Amino acid sequence: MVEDIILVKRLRHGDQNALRAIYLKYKDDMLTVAACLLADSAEAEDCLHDVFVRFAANAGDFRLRRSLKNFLITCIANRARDWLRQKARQPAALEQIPDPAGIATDPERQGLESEESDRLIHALAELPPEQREVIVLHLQGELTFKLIASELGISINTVQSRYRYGIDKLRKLLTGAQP
Amino acid sequence: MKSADKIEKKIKNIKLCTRRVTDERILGAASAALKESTRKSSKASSKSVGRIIMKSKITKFAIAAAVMIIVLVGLYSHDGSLDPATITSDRTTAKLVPLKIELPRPIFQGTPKNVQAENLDPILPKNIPPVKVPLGVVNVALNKNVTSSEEDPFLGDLEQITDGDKQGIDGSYVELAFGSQWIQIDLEEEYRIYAIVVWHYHAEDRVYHDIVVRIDNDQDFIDPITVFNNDYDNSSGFGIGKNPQYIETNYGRQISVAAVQGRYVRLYSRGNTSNSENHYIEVEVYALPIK
Repeated sequence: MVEDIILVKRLRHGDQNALRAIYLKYKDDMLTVAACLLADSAEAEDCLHDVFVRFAANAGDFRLRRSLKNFLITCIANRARDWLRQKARQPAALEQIPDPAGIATDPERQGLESEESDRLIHALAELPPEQREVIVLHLQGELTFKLIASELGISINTVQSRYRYGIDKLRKLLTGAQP
Repeated sequence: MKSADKIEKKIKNIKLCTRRVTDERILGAASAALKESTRKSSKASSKSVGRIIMKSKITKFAIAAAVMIIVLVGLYSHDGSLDPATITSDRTTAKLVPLKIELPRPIFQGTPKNVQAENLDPILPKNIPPVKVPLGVVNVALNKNVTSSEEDPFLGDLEQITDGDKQGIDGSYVELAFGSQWIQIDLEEEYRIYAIVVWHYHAEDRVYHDIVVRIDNDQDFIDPITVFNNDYDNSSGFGIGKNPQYIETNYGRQISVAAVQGRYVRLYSRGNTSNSENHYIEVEVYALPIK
């Protein structure tokens, strides 16, 4: 946390090394969350691109009020949510459900080598977006239920029930077990 | 351990890594955005300091005079050679935007072919987001000279590859012989390249094999940089490519390039799923001049 405060302070003065250090520190976490939410490697990279470039563009006005990682992960979730809504509104996009297998079969996407990760991302893509978002933000983004509730503007009970239903469905998808 | 706990643990353990080319692209754009942001905020803060100073009646006249002198001295000492390219470049690298290209009309194909190919890109071309490029990039390949591994193509003329006509109708494409063949575009000067778009042949579903795209400053490609390679089994000998094979459509293929500098662009291919020949309808190279 102290390290992040120093990095942000330097960043606000236009320090390029601080920008690089923040990127290198959180890029993989941000990409993982984006890929879990979007189930598409190219879109996940674009999401990371958009969020980080906007973060840099607004660095001068940025005030660190909580964990920098939480902030960046929340930005990724917001961007991914917009993206999914936008896609849902486009009739053409409905013809093809985001194909998580696209991640696995594209060998250029490093990091997605593990079959286990592919299987999990595939299963996450099967969940309703609101359940997926809560699960990913809590488990991958390490955001508390309270913080997720505050970010999404819903009650903590709703967050917890979305989480529970989502995990039940995932268990069913991955193990074939009845919930 | 309960299965739900196991699932939670497994999700926590998903760890993905960015690609190097992605890192370079994002850091380049973020760095430019930060520069722009710093420039704007320093301008704004100097304005507000100026306002505070100017509120003082005592110093108002003196400071206004001093500012005028500084401006006049600055004007006279400037050699007048303000480089517009520098300004444009700073502005353009500050923001990346989706590449806008004019697509040719899709060709009615009748019953779609069941194309079988290894490592085939599962994403439909219409769902692939456009590559991001700095504002101001232009197609610098338009009407530039094209050479190839074959002196005389089977069909068409090499100049058709950069003539701006992307239609998939007969007469719009160039056909090169079978086996591994290349075409090369001379951009006439060195550019900073951000995207390359290629249409091989889109009148039917087919996959062109071993597509390799390289950039170099030497026309003999002594020390090239490979920006695309989908030769998954290294049959063309340029190394195993990590890019997927893809079905040709009127969308072409947009290749993102991480600001690679070069004058020559060379594209290889080695036949396709319908026949052994190599075809090109159009190649576009989106780039900015080097300062």
